[in-house]
Amino acid sequence: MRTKRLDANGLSVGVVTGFTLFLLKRVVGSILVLVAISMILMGIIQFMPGDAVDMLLRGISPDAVNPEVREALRRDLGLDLPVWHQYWNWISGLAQGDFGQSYTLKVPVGPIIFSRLASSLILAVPAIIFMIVLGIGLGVLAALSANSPLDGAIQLISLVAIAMPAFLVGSLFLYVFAVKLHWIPAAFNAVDISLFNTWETITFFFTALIFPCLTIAAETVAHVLRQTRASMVEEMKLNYVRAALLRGLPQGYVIFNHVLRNALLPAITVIAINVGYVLGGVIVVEFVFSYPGIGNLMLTAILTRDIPTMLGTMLVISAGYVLANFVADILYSILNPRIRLS
Amino acid sequence: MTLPILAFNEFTFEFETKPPTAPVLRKLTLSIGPGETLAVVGESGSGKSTMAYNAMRDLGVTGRLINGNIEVSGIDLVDLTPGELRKLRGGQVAMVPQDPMTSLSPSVRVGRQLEEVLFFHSSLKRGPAMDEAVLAALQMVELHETERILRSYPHELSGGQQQRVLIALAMISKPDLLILDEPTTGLDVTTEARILELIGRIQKEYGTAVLLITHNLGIVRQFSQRVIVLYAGDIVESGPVKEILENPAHPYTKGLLNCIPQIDSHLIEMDLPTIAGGLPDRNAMPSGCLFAPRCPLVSDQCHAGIPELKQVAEAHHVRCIFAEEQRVSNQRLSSVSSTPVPVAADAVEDDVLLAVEGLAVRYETEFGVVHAVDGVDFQCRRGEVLGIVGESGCGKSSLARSIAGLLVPSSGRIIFDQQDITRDGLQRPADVRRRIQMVFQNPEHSLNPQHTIEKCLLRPIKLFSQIAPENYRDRIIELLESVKLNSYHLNRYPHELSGGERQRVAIARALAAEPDLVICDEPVSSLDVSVQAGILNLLQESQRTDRVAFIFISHDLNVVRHISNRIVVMYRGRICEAGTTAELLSPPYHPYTEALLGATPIVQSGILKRKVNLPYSTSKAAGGESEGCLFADRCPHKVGLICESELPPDRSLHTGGHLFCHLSNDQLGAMEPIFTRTP
Amino acid sequence: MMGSAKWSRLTSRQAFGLAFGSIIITGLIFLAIFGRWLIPYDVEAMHFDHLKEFPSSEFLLGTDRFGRDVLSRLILGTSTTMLIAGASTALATIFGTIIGLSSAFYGGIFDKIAMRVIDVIIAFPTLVFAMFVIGVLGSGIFNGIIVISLLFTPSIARVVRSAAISIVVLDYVNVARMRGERTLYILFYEVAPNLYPTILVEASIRFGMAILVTAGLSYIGLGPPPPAPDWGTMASEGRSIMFSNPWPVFAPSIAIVLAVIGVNLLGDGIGALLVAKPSRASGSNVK
Repeated sequence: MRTKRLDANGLSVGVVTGFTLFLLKRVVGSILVLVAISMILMGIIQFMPGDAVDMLLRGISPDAVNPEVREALRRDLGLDLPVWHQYWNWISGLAQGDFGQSYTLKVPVGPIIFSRLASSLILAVPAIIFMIVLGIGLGVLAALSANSPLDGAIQLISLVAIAMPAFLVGSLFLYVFAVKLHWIPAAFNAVDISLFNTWETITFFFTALIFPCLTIAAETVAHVLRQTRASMVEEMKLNYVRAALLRGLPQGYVIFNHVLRNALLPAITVIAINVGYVLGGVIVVEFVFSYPGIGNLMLTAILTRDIPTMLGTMLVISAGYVLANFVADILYSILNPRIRLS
Repeated sequence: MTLPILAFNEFTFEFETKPPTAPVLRKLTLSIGPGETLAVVGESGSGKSTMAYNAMRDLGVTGRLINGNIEVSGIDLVDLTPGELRKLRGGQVAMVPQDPMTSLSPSVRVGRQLEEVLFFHSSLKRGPAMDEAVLAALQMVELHETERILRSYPHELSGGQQQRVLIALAMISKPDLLILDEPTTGLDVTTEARILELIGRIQKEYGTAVLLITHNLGIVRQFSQRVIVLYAGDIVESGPVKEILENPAHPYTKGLLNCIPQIDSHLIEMDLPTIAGGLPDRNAMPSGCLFAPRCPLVSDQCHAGIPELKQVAEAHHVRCIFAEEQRVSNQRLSSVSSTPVPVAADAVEDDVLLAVEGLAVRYETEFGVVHAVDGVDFQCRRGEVLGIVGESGCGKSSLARSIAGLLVPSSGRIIFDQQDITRDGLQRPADVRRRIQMVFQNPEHSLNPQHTIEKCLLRPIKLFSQIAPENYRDRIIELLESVKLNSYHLNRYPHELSGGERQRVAIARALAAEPDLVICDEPVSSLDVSVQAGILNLLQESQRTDRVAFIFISHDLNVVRHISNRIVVMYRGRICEAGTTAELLSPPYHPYTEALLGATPIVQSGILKRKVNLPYSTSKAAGGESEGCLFADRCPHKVGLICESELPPDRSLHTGGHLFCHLSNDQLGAMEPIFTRTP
Repeated sequence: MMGSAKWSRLTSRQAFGLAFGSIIITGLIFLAIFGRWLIPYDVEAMHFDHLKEFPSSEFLLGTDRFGRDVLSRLILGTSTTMLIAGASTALATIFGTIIGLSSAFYGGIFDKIAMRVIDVIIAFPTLVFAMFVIGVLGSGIFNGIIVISLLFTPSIARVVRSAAISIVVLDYVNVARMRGERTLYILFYEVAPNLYPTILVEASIRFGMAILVTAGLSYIGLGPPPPAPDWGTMASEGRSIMFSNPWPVFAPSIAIVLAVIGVNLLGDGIGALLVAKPSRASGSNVK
């Protein structure tokens, strides 16, 4: 927000107001965090027992491998360089959109990551929407009917949902909808969505894709729900709520316009954390459903010691999480006037 | 006969608890006619707030109506539909709640909060008509910086401004009845005076009936016509204000009035009368008169049954069998027997224990440098009680913490018993640490919730006294008894004690070290009047028997005046006036002292108080690097530009006293006293 | 420590939860310690004539696809899971408390650096990062414990730090400082007793999460190597036969659910019991 200010001589002086500055600081902060993450990831890789080269050559008998060939291979992959040099190569490549080459598949990693990412997002985005809508909605509902049977039921269900590991939920869905009803395909990667028309896509979504989606959402909805309920209940006890109601303002109005924005603040933090979980928890869910997403890609990369892919997927997932936190920070400051002004 | 605006008819109300407890309000019957003002006075736990909320049918979480009803303009509240009830609240009946800071929605702008009420109570829609109405509301409460205030969030306003916004919110739909729940707690005394005046004016102009809920008998006089004294949910006395204050008849009312220090109490050394004990435990209510367990007049008849409300004079009703005699008796009822002793002039030694020279405490904040304490000089003598009076932002807390060693001042000197301890902070010599102790304001936070009382008192004894370990317990019990507690409290935790009891433990802890100086930072501000008196007596006794000096910091001038030998008045980090108590109470006054005295509520009958008109304070921050007098922008006696450009000189005619003002000695001498006795 | 416990604060629901949670946790700890003497069958024994069986009087929870008794594996798995989850929570709590307290008390550069580092580590989605690290460094009990405690320490540090900061400004700490008490004394005798409830509640939440992370990791193959009967591994192995006999999958899963529920209820109950809420609330129920 630029406001025109006049200095002593009547000349206008552009002023960048506090909020823009705040925004800039957050952006820079997030970038720094990502950089730190990338360094840490690289650092961890260095401790990997066994050589990447060994993995690559696994199929071939060790005797048959000439030490010189190994050295050549190492040089090829850039593994003989000191750490910071490897790091620099990686980072500068990233800046140009080059994620490096997969060790195992011998193709650029970038495109694979992003196509898999797209598949994962098909699951993740609706899951996040579910999480926010159901989590906040049910949380508010539970808070408003606190201590009633409805509240008790909601609380019980969310308690169980939190405790259920993702693979359990997924397995349950699979049991019912794959085995018994044959709705979910045995192998998702056999299905090519681009071939569907709109109606078929929607059907496919609601009969098949929705299950991994719900699996991811289940636990996160419960977390958001509990936090929303708790902070709503606490907020409703505060003096200003009573004062507003005693001014004759309708209850619904007070809740939506006065209470909610304060009560949601802690919920935003929880939502951000859970977005990270969604981006990551996709791994287990994708594993259970054999879904070709970024999670499975990372798993495979780990098992095959495909370093560029590992790093790439991990970085992308972390970036998503950092982005979610950034958005949460901004939202938080918009909703809380006290933070914005300081 | 016109219908009363508000009528309670035999209203009995309880909170459902496990195990069941006695009702909070018992057969309460009162009424307020149109345009009338009624004050309800009671201590915490008396049920007065519950009463106020019930007038708008707010039962609280576990509240339950047992009997009786409440009628607003003749209509039983129970008969209202939810929609009608909503229209009533904030429309016909409006409340100004307690604690302005937490009663405004923190994330909604003030302007919007005003518009909302109009939106839901009138037919106005957003537009010029509504804007006009909102502006008019702000004008009504003397908030003139309308643009800024409308756009502000509540936390950006000062306490006084927030309170006025709440009044505006209540008055904006011109209610028939205005309920004020402790409207001045948490506010500065001068702000309090102006707000009360404001309410009085609004009441006259709009003919609104007013129900004032308070524990402060002093403000009752200001604009109420009638007063009701509530004890444990029952009316014990009711009548016209003048009559009740001059001729109280119920022992409780008398006790309450006596607990408040009289205007000349500092001239006679005597313990303040207290009311022994506390409100009856709801789990074990006495049979018979509820006040009997605490009453100095109690007789067997009192336990037989609850007395009826008897009329003892015109419109004056009392619930006590001794009412008639008490009304005309001047007997000072007290659980503390004492004979008055005139204060000896040389009771205080000349030996200077603590000298503060040019003390300054500065903070860096995002708004610039804040001078919390800005060049303060004073002395405290051995065995003396030095009172420091000032409102919020005057720097008294920073001053206290500097002397205590909790912060190191930015400049100046603190000399204790000829030792310069300024820079030492908490590293001061061990014996200095022992000899300077502190009692804090909030008893809830000054005792560790995880320590028993015994453990709490053990540590200072262990560290500071020479007593052998086997005698520790005896010493602890001795200390407890000196603050009117006993061995029962040894194994209790703080949350099992009342506020007054906790504060006594804090004092015992301070005295355990056998100090020479105890700094008390607002020690009685969070306590009820009857409990307050007991604490003040304790401090004075300590001064008498052990020659302990006290620095007593408070915003309540009446309390400070009662207990102090000398007083220092602070404003925004600087001293305005200093001197003995007698000097301070009589003219010449510093204009700020004059305003403080004029704003202090007086309960005593037979005393006239001159009114002083003081504008609201304009800024929240403490004093800056101003070249002149910091009080200049509010001073009713402002001389001229000199007040803003030059530091005021010291006009005091007394040794050891100060009076910093640009007014000439002649002008100061011409000031009229604030307090005069009626002939 | 229990001095400020106010039993009256508990609703009956919370009291029930507290009891239920305590029973479950006690049971789990008992099984974890004494399990190996209670199992009816050897966990590695494969009964080839009883493959993939449903629960019977012989095998109370049935057998898995290798003919191993599910119940025995479940019981022994308790100790693996409890060990990893318990040890990592304990470590995280200890280190987190130390860091949080130091940060709150000493402030300054230490605090600033610690907070930045915490921000970065918290920026990692837990499960993903755990997988990454374990995937790189190799699976095993020790690695699991180290990674999970590393990931949980920052959140505990943050919670402890903010609780400590709000305590340090209270007057009773000032009273102690004025007495000239040493910093360590203040930490141990004045501040810490008031921190226990917060730490306990946070630790119980983390414990529940640790169980889930451990199970998740072993499910995708990054847990303790077979034949260790960790619950997650059991569920994973049972996957292929789930459609003919779901017990090998559901038995360990239900164990996980019960454990996490128990821990959470226990934490809620302790929190309700010990944590004193500030009295700003008016407790209204305006209708």
